[in-house]
Amino acid sequence: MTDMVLINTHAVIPASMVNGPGNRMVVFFQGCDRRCPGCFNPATHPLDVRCLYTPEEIFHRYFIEGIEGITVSGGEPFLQPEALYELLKAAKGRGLTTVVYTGFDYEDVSSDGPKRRVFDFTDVMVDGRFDIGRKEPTLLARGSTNQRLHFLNSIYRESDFLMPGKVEVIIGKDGRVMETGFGRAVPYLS
Amino acid sequence: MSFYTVIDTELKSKKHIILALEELKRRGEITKYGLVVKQDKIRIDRSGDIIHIGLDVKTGNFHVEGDVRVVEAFAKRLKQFYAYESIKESLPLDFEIASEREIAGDITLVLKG
Repeated sequence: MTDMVLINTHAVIPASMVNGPGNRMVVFFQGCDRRCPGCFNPATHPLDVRCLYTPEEIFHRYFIEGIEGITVSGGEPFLQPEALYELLKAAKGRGLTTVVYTGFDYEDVSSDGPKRRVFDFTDVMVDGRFDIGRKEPTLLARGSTNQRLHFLNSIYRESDFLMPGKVEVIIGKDGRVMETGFGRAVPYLS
Repeated sequence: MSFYTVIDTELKSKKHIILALEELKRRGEITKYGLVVKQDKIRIDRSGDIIHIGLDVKTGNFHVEGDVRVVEAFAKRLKQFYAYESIKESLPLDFEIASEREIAGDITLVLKG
């Protein structure tokens, strides 16, 4: 059944240093109804279909050897709980660590059966809406200080989420420029 | 959520084109380049392959002309270093490059702010 689950995906970065501990594949889900004012990613909000991948297709297309784990961001990953579950399960099957960012609170997720199942394959969940008035001032990998890091096992601790930088710019060999992280640095990309 | 954005690079600034060409020359990827004043073009010698960069007055962007065998790959490489030079120059004062690496042809800059 795993291969039948499709993930509505906004984008995938094969390797990033600023989206959680170590070098990580980052999967941005498409679709979010949280509408946090000042959200960095308004293009991920529409619930329209953008790119549909099975978890296996994501790994086949984007996986590179040597990454430590996978980070799921968005968009709102928990609007696709079944797809999120299968993606994290597939990641764990490859020995990867897993981090999930969500605009929901931990309590909302843990009291909802289909969503809570995702915890089976999640190492760390970063929860809460983005609050533009409380932007994270340090290199901790979160957008605002109200967002909480929930360590669902002992693989990581908070110090692992102090990033080497706030922003990462990847200039592809095709000339395309990708910016990711928890701040904006390149004016002409805004 | 972390953020994600992506753009295609357009060659708009002659200054950054020159900086990118300097970097390509330093890396040995082009032999030499020079301005062709009469044609208002930049002439590039890439180990015997001649490529020109000229301004498209309609779009205001520069474009790369030459033998189809080499021009596409060269234009992509030029755009990559053009983006690299223009990003370095346009960084806000409160940001600095913490690390820089090149993996499988992609250049990654980690920025501290």
